[in-house]
Amino acid sequence: MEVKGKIKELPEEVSKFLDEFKKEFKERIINVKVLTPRRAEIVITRNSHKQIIKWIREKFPDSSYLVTINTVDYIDREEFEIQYEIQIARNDFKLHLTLKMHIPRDYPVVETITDVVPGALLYEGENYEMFGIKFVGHPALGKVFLPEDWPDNVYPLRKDVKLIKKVKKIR
Amino acid sequence: MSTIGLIIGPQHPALHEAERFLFKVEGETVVDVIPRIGYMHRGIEKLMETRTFIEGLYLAERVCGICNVPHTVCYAEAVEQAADVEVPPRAKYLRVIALELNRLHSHLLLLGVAAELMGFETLFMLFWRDRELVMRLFEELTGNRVVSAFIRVGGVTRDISIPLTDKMKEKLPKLYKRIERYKKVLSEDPTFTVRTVDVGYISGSKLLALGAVGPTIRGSGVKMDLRFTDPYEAYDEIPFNVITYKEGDSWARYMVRVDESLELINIILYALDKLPQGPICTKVPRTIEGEGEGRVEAPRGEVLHHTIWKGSTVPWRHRIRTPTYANIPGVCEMFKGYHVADIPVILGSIDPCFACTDRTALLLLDVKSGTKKTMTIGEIKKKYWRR
Repeated sequence: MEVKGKIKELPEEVSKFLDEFKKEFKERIINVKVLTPRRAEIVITRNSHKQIIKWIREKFPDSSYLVTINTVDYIDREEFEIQYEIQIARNDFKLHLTLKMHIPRDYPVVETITDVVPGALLYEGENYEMFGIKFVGHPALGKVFLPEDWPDNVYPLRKDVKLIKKVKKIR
Repeated sequence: MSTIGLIIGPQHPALHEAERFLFKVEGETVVDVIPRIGYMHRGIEKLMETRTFIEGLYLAERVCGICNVPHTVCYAEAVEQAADVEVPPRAKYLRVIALELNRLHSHLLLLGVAAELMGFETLFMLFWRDRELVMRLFEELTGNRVVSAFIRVGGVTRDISIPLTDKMKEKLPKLYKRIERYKKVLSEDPTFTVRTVDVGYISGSKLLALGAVGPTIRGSGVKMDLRFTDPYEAYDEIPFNVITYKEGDSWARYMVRVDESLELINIILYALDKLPQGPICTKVPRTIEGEGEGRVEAPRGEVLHHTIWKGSTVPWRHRIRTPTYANIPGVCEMFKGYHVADIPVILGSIDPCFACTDRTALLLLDVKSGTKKTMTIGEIKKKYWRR
């Protein structure tokens, strides 16, 4: 476990939770990094996100929620990084978890978590239309923000789609 | 009974911004809702990747006009975290004051709009009269009335003067008394209670599963407030109560905002008293390498800016998550089982802000199917401008 130099000591409950987490998912964790006493970043292996999020949601049913799903396009490493951000807050135990998962750029397919967290519906739809990540099992992958006549297979937030400076005048 | 599809939006008198909802109704009762967002998509996330943090800050401010301060604070926090810069304590307190004044004006605006939605126009006038006072103070503090341009990466742009401090200490307690009176009106007057009590009920655990944030979730008794769960700026030094209501209906969500307005006046007065001395801004390097995340409790809920810099003057990726976007699955659940006439009241109770939701007109993209049709401002003027 990496801990930044600035943090003197972790709150007891946070370290207890992280130990329990590491014990539960021994094979599925690549790296744990504690950034602040209230924030931790965990790199996990591919397709293990569903199990982990389900475990967290079952452990804290009345005090945790999925903040967002975010994708980063690392075109130089030929992979996407998907980040699941979860906030847990039960009395004095406050932790913001970021689960990072790397998937290959030429085969961007991951399992959906909409059956575990129904709030992920829009986030997964957005990541599909902006990056082309296919969420297997999502009930309706379609357009969220983009217009209906948007061409297929053009994913605007990917790094190989370029903004153009000048627009040719029509009319 | 057969089901009828009722389309509300993109242009509709009950919605103040363009968004489409397809309601499946049986008689007068709503059984299902399908939202279609994206009418105000501006491609901000893509545009952000071509901007330095000085330009990006102003772009972040234009994500949402009403809650511009939370967005700028959030952007600045994310960049500061990536650059590993510490903001001076006086700037932190000044940010808290600007944030809370912004929240106060936003809450009063919504409560006024809510009163107007129910046909209670006197209350609407009263709320908006008091909002004017907040706007004046806000203008005097930041230099601008709505879009403030008060926050800078590394601090704030202007310092607070002593006469303004005295003015705030004099005016805000008076406003407190007035809001207390409105609270009595809102909890007793049948014009308001009949339309809101037991309308749009949803439980807290369901909202957590749907990922709702802000006053929406606090109205269902869940103690989730970023100022408390993940304190930023100077909120860990300021004592305050997190307002929650157990009822879970539209009335509770409106009342959370009234009580929050009272609580935040105390926060402003405390911050003015404890304002530390010192500089108000630090320098931030132009090229940044690192990852930062800013999370701020905006008037409508949690705003998240996640930024990744790879040693250049522009970010590699900038992600914005806005509160109304997170509340949409929740509000669709609230409509079910209630009447068509309750739609504006329930939608109003989450304080929708669709410009915020879509954030990101048409992208000017190098798409293979050809360039999209665009018009310059001169052409629009020539065609539509009439004197």
